[in-house]
Amino acid sequence: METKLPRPSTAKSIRSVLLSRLLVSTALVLLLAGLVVYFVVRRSLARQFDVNLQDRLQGLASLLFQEGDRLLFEFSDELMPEYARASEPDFFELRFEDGRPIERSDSLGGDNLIPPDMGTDAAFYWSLQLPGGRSGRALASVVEVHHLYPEEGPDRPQAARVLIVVARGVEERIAAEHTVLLSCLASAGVLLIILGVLTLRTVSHALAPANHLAQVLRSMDVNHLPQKLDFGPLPVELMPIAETTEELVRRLDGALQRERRTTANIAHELRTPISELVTVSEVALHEDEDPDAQREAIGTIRAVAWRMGRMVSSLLKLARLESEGLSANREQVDLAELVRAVHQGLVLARDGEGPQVVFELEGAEFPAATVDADPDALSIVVTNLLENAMHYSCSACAVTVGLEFDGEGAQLRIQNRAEGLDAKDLDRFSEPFWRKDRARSDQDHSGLGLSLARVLAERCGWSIDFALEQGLVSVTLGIPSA
Amino acid sequence: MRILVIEDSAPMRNSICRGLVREGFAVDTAEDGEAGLSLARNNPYDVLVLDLMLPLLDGHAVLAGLNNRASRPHVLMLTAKDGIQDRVQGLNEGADDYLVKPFAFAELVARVRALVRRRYGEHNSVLAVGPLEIEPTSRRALLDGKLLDLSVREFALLEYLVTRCGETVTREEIEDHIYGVDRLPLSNAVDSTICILRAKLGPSGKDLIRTRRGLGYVFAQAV
Repeated sequence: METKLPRPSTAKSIRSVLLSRLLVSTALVLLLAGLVVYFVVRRSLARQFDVNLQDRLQGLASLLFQEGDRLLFEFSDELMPEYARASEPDFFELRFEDGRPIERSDSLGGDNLIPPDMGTDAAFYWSLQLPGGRSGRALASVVEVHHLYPEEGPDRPQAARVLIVVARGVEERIAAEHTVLLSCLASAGVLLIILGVLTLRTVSHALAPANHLAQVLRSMDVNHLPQKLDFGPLPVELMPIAETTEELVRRLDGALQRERRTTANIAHELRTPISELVTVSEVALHEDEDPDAQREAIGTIRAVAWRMGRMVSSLLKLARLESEGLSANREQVDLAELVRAVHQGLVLARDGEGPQVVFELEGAEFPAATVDADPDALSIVVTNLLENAMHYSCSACAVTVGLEFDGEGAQLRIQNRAEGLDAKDLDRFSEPFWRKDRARSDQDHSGLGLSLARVLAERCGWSIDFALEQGLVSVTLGIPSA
Repeated sequence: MRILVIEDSAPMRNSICRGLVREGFAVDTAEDGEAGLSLARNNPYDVLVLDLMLPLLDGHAVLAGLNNRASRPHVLMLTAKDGIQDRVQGLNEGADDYLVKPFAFAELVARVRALVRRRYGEHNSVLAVGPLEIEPTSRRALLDGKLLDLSVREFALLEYLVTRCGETVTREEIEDHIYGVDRLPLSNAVDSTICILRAKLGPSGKDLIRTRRGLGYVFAQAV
């Protein structure tokens, strides 16, 4: 049954994040561009409008003439019909500089076109409310009137200066601005849609390898992990994920297989003493007439039960070490002295039997032959390593114990000769219950010693390395300097 | 019937041996695969009780070493592995039956008896020849419906002769199948037991167990 992890509400999709951010960014850019275009066009329209006003003013000025003392204004509605049309007319007004009116367009009616204070400006633009309530813009300028007959002599009167004001409604300009604005918005919208579609396709295409990677992982059978995952061609950015995932799967598979082997070995190892208890007791139950046989059977049952108890204790110890932390009581430990003491204890337990142990302890020659370690943990590790070597060493061979110190720490090396091993067995040395000879654990050896030593050493930050050379097995315990 | 128990666990090996002897079998034992294979090749066992996980040579290798032999004993495999693959492998390699540890001793005995019956072509749990009925499971022999008072060795000899009904069985064969390798009998122990059996079978005893001079004995099919 597929188990899905609960997804937090804050979980986001790369696709949606990319799409939303790209679209928002694109929309902002298009909006900004549209506004820039709009304001540029708007300004251009305003300038064009003012230029048009200027042209109209010049046009009116060109109709002004001076003949002697008389001022002539050759205006007619036919000539400039924009001032006379019924709908949205333009306006003009002419005044002398002193304010005396000269002429005005009929469209003005009773209103005046009086500019605000012009100051010293030759031309002055301003926005105003036109007659009829229309919004408009006006231009006021003082012009010198041309003499009709410029060849008149120096006695001719001075050229009159006339204030001309022209005004137009800005409806067309406003309408044009609105059109530009709508066009910009519409264009931005269409562009946004097109870019959105393109972005969606691009993002989908870019994320396809990630989807494929997820699909490969989703289709993996967690009960039968593959040795190699086929991700197909992947982009450079995803390759570290694929490589790391493959490595993790491989290591996980190895760990699961080791766990399965350990579980099977534990079941097998426990079944064996249980079988012994069942068979011995069942046979003994029918030996009423042989008290000696029954007594012997009871003794056997007791011994097997104790052996089971030791095995279970070792298993529990191993499980505790693997799952819990180790509270270390560190102190300075004379490693050479500890190894000798462990050896003496093992010899005593074996009633003096077992292979000879040769010590090559150089530590005694060094002034600082101590290590900073938990003495109990160190004793357990050394005991298991040495006991294992003594158990599996051939009876006529010696077990060699070497000790070296350098600036980086201490190296305890235990060597024994054991036939029948090859290099690929080294990886399984510390596996619970593993032994080269596949027979069950014997009466005195649970098969957990090296496993316990390995786990305990790892907890204490020590190293255990196995080596095999020409039938000689070496186990090296490395204890770094504090 | 002669059984070889190959089992490296001393408590298991000794208990199985004692239990099977009490059931009337002649039992030899071996504590590793090499010794067991050597015994199996050189002695006429009816059934091998073979543990799978053995030192020196495991159960699979012992089976392989027995294959292609003319008078191969039936094999009952003992193992703590209960996986289907393991069972199939054992049976494919030549084991005749399979028992997963831990097991009830009574079941071991029943399976051994079944293999013995199969070895001699018997299909019924009760051997009946004329007036005689042998019940191997309950270790009872009945003549005309009356229970015969037989010792363990006498019953084992009678049972062996009945399973080989109609065949001439030599003294050596009787010694091989009734006595273990460590219990070589006196030279006339077989003859003495035959005499005792004939006496207990009554007037028809001589007719049921006939002597073939110079050859051995035969259990007649009909009186």
